[in-house]
Amino acid sequence: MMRKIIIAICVFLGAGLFTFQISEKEFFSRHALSATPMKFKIPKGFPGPQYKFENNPLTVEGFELGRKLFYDGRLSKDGNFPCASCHQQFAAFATFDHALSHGFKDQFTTRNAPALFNVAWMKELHWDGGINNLEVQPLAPITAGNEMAENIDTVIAKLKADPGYRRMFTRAFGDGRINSQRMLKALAQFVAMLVSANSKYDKVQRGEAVFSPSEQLGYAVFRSKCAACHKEPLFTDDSYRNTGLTVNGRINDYGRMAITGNPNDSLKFKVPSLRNVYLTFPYGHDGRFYSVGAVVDHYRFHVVNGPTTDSLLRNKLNISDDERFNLLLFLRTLTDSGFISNKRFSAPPP
Amino acid sequence: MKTTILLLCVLVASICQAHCPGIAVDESNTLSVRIEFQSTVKGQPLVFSQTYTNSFGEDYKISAFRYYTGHVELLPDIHSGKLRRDHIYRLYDAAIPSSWVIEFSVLSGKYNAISFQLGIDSIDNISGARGGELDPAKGMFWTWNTGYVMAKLEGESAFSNVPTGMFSYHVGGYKGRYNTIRRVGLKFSPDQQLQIARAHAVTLVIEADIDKWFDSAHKLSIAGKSFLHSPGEWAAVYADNFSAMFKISSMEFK
Repeated sequence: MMRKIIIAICVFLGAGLFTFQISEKEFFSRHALSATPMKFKIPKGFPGPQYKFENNPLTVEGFELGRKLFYDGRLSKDGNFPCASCHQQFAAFATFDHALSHGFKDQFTTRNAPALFNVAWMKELHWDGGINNLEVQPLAPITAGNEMAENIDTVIAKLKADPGYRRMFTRAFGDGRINSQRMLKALAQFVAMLVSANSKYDKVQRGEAVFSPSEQLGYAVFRSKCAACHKEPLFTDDSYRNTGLTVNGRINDYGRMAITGNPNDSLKFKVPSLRNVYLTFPYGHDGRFYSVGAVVDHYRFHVVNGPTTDSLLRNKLNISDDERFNLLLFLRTLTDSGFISNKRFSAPPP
Repeated sequence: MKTTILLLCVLVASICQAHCPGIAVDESNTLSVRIEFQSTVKGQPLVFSQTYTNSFGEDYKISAFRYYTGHVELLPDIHSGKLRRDHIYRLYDAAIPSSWVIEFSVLSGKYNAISFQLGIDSIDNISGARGGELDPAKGMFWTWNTGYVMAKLEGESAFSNVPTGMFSYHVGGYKGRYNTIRRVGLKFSPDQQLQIARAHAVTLVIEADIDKWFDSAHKLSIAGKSFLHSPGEWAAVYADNFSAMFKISSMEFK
């Protein structure tokens, strides 16, 4: 009898402790959760992701909710600007053919919309690295007056008013509570799953394809001239560098310095991945280059040296015309056509 | 078997005591603590519509005053280590009276000071989407340079150099030398120390004198700086003045 009481007390106290411990950070109802777990697959040769999936268990329902949110204009003030308006799948989730994107009331952004793929490997986001966690990134475009121009409370109210969303939040998180945390966790699930690792380059690495002789030569040029910053397999080293671009006097964007307050970071921007580079034009943080060749020529001829210009570029890049030709052919092998046609990432059926 | 269960029980119970005030704590051995945060200007309760004058002779009216507190501790008078209360953050808002009060229980004993953190730990600035008091929808979050605004003071002044005549100070930043997290320690008087040791309940009124925002550790006139919305050197300077605003205005015992 005594023993039973002790066990009962134990169970009671244990349950109390458990409830308390999960209450603070837990955003889903564990007891009611019947969502289907989903796995994040790390492509062969890729390092471990930066994003901490353990704090946001991937589920099919969470991913699908994130997908719906990504394509939903209601996240913006006038309904016209879902995430997908500037992050288009056919442009590897950059903005097709736009140096700068435009948002609410025909206002322009000040930077070229970055492509969204392999973001789970990024330590920080945005050209200046101002965002330290994938989950909170959507708050920047949602609340920016020249982008989606909405405020968080209104977005949440709009979602709450939709019975469809209440059902989807219940399926994803175990109950129908809708709040910013859940919205952001779901969006993070969708965006983190945008993995691009099946280009011809990847197939060559896996022994499933071979480069043409020109591509092979271009790959050699890439490895000797570009790979220090555009490091394989992600084709970026995730660092911030001044690549010798002059300041656009209309925008006066000094990049990373705005985040760190450090003059040594003046004019430094995040090194973008070169995967899918032929889909993501224009190029540069302000989209000033309309072709890959123009970017290569900038490094060959037009680097402007200043106090923070990257040491790897101060003497420009010595790339001959032949090398340039082959390099561009190699860069085309980084296009992942399966990624941009993957139906799981496209707008959900209404 | 029985011993194991018993041991388990003791373990669970002790963890519980440490983590869940209110659960399985013997009433006769606890001290109920109630803290009321008050906003004042020169000792008088803050009135939003009222015009004040700071030490530089500048007029000002306050329209918003909000800040995060956390990690409230009562400090024992012996070197037995700090009695950490919890990790709960609370957002104080001068416009919302229900946000002014913090209540919790600790074990009875001799305490000689209270201490609390102003701001949000760095780990909580980098850990993604949060809920409750840390919900970015509370308006204390920088979306373009991730991090919490630890404290916010807004108002108007003829001396403001912002075209609208407003002043707005958003103090935040958790990195390196520009860290704006501050810990405030407030000592009890010898008499208060005696009384708290005998008490079952204590109510502390802690007031923050807004006048010191402009003038305490640093002299910060409104004309000199009217607008601060980013982490960095200035934010750290304002955080110093902010943390110097607090004092115990009264303690009542039961």
